[in-house]
Amino acid sequence: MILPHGRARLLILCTALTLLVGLIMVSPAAAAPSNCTNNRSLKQVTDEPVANTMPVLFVHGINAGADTWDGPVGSDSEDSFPRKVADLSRVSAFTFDYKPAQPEWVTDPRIGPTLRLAINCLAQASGYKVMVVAHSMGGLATQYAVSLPNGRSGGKTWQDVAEVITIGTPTRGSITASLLHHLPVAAARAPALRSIEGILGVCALYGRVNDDSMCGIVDMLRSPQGRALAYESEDIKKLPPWPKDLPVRAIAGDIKLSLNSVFGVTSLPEASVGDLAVSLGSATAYTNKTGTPRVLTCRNNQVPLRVLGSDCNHVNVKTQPTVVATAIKQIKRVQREQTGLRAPELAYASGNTVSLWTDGKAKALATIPTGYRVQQIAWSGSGLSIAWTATKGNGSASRVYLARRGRGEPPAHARIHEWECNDCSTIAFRGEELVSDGASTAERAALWSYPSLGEPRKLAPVSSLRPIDGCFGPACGRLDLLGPGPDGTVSAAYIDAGGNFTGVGTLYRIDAQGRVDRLDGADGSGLLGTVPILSPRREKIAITWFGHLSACEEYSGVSVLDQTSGQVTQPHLPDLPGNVWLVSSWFDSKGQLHAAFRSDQGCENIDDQFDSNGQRIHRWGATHVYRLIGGRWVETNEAPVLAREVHRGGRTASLLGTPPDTAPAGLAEGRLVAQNAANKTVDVAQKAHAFAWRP
Amino acid sequence: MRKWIFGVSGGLLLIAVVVYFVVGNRSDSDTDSAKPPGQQELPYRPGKPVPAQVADVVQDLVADDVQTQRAALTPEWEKALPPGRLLAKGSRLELRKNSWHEEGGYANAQATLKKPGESAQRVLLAFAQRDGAWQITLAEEIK
Repeated sequence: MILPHGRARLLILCTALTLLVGLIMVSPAAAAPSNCTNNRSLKQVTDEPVANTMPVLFVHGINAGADTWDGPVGSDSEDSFPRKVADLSRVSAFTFDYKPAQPEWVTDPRIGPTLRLAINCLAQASGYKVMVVAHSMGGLATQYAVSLPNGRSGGKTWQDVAEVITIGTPTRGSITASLLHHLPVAAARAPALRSIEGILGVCALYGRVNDDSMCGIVDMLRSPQGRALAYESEDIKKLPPWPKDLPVRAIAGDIKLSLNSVFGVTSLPEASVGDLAVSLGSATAYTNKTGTPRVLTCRNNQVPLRVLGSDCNHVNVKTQPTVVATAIKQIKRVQREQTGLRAPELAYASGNTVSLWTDGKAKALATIPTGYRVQQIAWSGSGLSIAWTATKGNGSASRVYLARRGRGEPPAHARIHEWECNDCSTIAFRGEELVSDGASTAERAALWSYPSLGEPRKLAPVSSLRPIDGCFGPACGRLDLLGPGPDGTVSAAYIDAGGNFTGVGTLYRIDAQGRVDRLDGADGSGLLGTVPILSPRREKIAITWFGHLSACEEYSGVSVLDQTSGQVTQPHLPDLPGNVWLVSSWFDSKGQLHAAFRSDQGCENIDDQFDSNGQRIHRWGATHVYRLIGGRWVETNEAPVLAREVHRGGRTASLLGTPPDTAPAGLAEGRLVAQNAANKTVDVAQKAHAFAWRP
Repeated sequence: MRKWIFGVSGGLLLIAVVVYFVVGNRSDSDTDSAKPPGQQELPYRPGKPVPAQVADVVQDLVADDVQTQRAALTPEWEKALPPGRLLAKGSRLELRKNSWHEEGGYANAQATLKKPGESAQRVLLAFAQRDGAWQITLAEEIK
């Protein structure tokens, strides 16, 4: 068909606009964290980093979807219950949506089993147990999900859950559902039965203008799902019991109904009808370790037509302000408890032992072979995995170690795996996956990936790096790991051009599939002191670089990669006489970079440039400490340290000692001190040479 | 440029017209001209004629003798009410035509109640089916 010119243009325009509107409508508000995206039922409420937050998972009930938490129709979703929770400090909020699986029962693979995967994934990604807020049948879906394995040896999903709050969950079933399915309701007392039957009559063929109306719930209870929800149904009885060690808190709505009727009788006994869909007895039938259930009572709804819109009815109760405030108070408490349970833990290496230190108590985690020395210690974002590298004194061999423990297990229970890795120098966690450099060549870009169960390491290819542009030397084509990036990525520098006199290379962020995001480049002739220096919240990485202009003009400095923007700040070296060298750099609790520098006078016109071992002789001046303010180094009166790391909670660990004569000073040995619970600085170990706070 | 602006304007107008008719029509079909006054939140669709047995039960409610009146109610409700007449002698209850909504053993209908010496009341009646017969389980004035 050939359309006139103008009409064709109009048609194209309308189609384009329709497509555009469609695209806008189907775009999710925010994606789940990258390592949980396989679970399409899971959506994060706000797009925030998940690591080190306590996830709160909202599970809706029968005849609903994730939007049920937005509150009554017309309310502002920006002010919704999940949004309020997402705005809490160190809390992330998620919704679990099983609407496509309705009207199936909670054992359907798309409901309970998928919910358990979501819980396991969030616990892994965050490093915290998950708090579940479940409405109606969502509580039964949770009851089923927590009984399922959590994917770790012998573990169950409830071990990944901190607490469950059920709101209007029919633990014994729903009398209303029984009535609608003409099933016996012997347990229902007459006043409640009378009142509920009146409501069911009112709701017969009720105009379904509003899907989320009370009568919508009555309609849904007529479905096969509703039959399963009948009072003391076989389906409910078959559910595994709640685990005895899992705290479960019940919140219920209770409408005290006293129908006046047209008969003029005002002395009818008040009847408790629960939230109309679920009786009070059923909604509060199970609590554990949380005291008495919280009951929201509504009395001012004598007229049945108004009862349908009561704050206490099954639909409204879950977003009623008192209920929301109660739940948020508990979420804050659980978050505090989880944080408190995890006192900052410092891993360190001294001699041939790797140990964990917490508030003055140290425990040996592992020993490394004699003659080896730990070069780097790294924690995964969840804090459940720790890895370190060890190199033989003469640099002829290296090994990579990985210890992973279950949630809440003591360090002694960690299983340790090790691999030979003579070609790698840096390790980092990409999400929870341990990777190292050493697999990349000028012909092939790749990382080594280390399986958590100790199987042989695998090549993890990296795609779409910028082509190498004529670089030379052993570093050419090498991927040096800088540290963990956001959203389960790892940040790396790629030496792709030039030689001694050009840049460190291009910086990239590499995701779990090996896809890259190109970031800024960085100055210097190469990386130096390759141990990544992370800011407390891991949003910045200090890149230590080395510059070489001639044999007598060498120097080193530090640049900052902002992991959020991908930009690199490259401050000029401080104004010191001679060649300036970095001693150490660290971030303070606010994420500001500090650095200690010293200088030597170079070697021009000096006869004894090298010692008997062929090492350059440096003639060091004093060490000065600077703070990076507005892209410039400003000298401070702080005492220099060999290394320092500040935990995100504010505690500081420092390696103290005299910088060695050799440059760089990055892997020096010294006295390790740290702040304990009383914020007093105490000795941790002598002759320590690597350390890292658990995030 | 002008042609392009006309094109965009035309497209938006077309979408607006389509949205108006589609949404507007749906909205009309979902609401009911017979909804009780003052009860915007309960928009009943037009119902069916009230069954004869239901009409009889409703008339029982205004019967002269107490037993007949009380037998019109479900036993649970009847037991809850104090003994005696439910409605005064001479009360009249007139069912509204086509106000019968029945679903799964429950139903409702609307009526006008006239008590002696009082003004007429709009009443919503709810019913439950017991052993095949309908009994009244709720009778509320619609204000």
